[in-house]
Amino acid sequence: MPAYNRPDVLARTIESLLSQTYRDFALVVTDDAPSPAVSAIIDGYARQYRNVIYEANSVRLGMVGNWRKVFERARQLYPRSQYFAWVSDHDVWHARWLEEMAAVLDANQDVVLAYPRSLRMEPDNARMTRRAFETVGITGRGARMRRSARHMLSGEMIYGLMRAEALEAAGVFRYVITPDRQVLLALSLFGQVKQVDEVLWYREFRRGFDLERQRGSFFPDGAPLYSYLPSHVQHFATLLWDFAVSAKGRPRFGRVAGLWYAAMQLWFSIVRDVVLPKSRLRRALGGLVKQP
Amino acid sequence: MSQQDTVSSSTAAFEHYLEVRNSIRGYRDMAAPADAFTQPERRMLSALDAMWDASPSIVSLLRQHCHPISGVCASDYHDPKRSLRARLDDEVARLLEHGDRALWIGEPAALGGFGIDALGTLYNEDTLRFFRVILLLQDAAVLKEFAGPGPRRTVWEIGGWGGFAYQFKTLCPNTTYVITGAPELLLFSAVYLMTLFPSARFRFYDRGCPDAFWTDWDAIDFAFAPESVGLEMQAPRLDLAVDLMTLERMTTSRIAAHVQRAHDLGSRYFVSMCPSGNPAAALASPVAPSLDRYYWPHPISTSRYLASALAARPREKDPVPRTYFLGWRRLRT
Repeated sequence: MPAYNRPDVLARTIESLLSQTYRDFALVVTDDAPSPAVSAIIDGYARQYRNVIYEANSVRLGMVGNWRKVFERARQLYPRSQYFAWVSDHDVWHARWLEEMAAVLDANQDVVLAYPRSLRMEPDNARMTRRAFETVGITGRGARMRRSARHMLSGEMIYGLMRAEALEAAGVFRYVITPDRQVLLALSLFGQVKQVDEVLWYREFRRGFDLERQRGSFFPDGAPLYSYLPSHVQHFATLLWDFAVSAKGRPRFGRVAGLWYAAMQLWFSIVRDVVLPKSRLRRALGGLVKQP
Repeated sequence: MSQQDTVSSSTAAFEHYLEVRNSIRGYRDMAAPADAFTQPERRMLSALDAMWDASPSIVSLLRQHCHPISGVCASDYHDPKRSLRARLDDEVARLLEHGDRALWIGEPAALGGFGIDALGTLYNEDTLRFFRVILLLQDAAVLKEFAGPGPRRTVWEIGGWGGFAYQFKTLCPNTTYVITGAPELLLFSAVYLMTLFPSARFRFYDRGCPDAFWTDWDAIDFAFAPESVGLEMQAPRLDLAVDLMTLERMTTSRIAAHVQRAHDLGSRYFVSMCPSGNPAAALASPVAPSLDRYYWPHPISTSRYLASALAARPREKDPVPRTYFLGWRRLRT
């Protein structure tokens, strides 16, 4: 749990996680905005539950840094753990969430990420999401990349349960805009995604997507120039570097394939933006592209 | 239902009635002193008192005598007013549009079942209330735990006349269903359920051997005990507690004791149909404060979701506007 100053709902979130029917897990909290209120809440649970580990960051790392840190600490503390999930400090998880997601990963070695349908929590309301996305049964990396770039639900999938080794190979979180989308695209090269057709995650909805807010929270010391490039270009550059230059896809796939997948990502992400009615590209073009 | 079926069902019902009455008559001595009851509770219990000496014909129409418990009156459905029919038809249509039709269970015609005749079944206000609770559990991904093939679950219903137990047990047979409350209420629920589930296994709390009540728990379908025993419940496990307008008739200390007991026994969920605000003391007690203390409100348990998905909007003209609460267990209280 990369925590950031949500003492108002933190206890509810932690209790939903500690109430999981699947008991063999640990909750590692790295707090990027330590305060007496937050530490009092988490310390209280850590005293009672040995699987709760709390660490406050001495300097602010920003959102990407904190997400990376929590993954690294979890891997250091539990190197034999096969699965990993990021959890927020404000959402709510159904008690069977971990049991159901782990069962999917246990049953199918080709699946690297399992996530459920979600419900959007609004003030005094709740809305079920009906959107579906998965790549189960798609064995080709290129086909998975194409489908993921076009259709994936990164905001929901990023809180799914993942194979820790695959996530590591995919590069964890990168210092780019929409890093969730970037890592999930990279992850699509390492295996399939399965959506469990049950609402088992309740997601707090506060504000819509905001690039400026992302830059501010990702880069506390100031946003680098490249962060103003289109996100697809940033993602292309990281995929190119990781898989075509550094050959991090080996032994599964080589540099040429890595180059091809990076190019596919760029092309199909642009296609997605052209086709998607509410895309930023459409907004930027100011209606030049006709609505389908 | 043919005339022969009706006669045989009525005969069986009266035999069940005699058996149940014999089993639970002693519970009256175990009930709280009269001054522990609230005004609404005293009103309800005195209206049900005649059931201790019911004739076969009264038992054969048992369902039509449940009015003091749920407030739903059979006479309203003999020739239903257009406004009532229109409202219920609209609500049923919305519920079936939102929810899984396979979960719909109408009011059985047995024991004087009544309601609007449509969809191939009868339904009335109670039927809809129960269906809403079922859909609430379904939307919250809770029902699957009870309907699925996993380990046998325990459900505790506080009071009621047996109608929700009938719906729930039909959908989730692999559950042990405990009902506690005033003996007058048990007289209704036990006879009703015994008649509708003739091959189910029933157990009644016996003061002579109290520990036996809690043994071999998985071997029984329905268990009945007085309120005082419910508050000392020793069930090996508890998974869901249910209150459909029963707690609101109790004093706040008894409400809290029930919710706390469910929490202490580890009941992961608590579902309640209870007053939506602060009702007048002469009509009902507030239940929400006790629920909030021991259970987190489930994210779908919001007034707008209930109104849009479950057509459950507190009706202002009701003396006690009510809402539905589904909570999941707090680890700290």
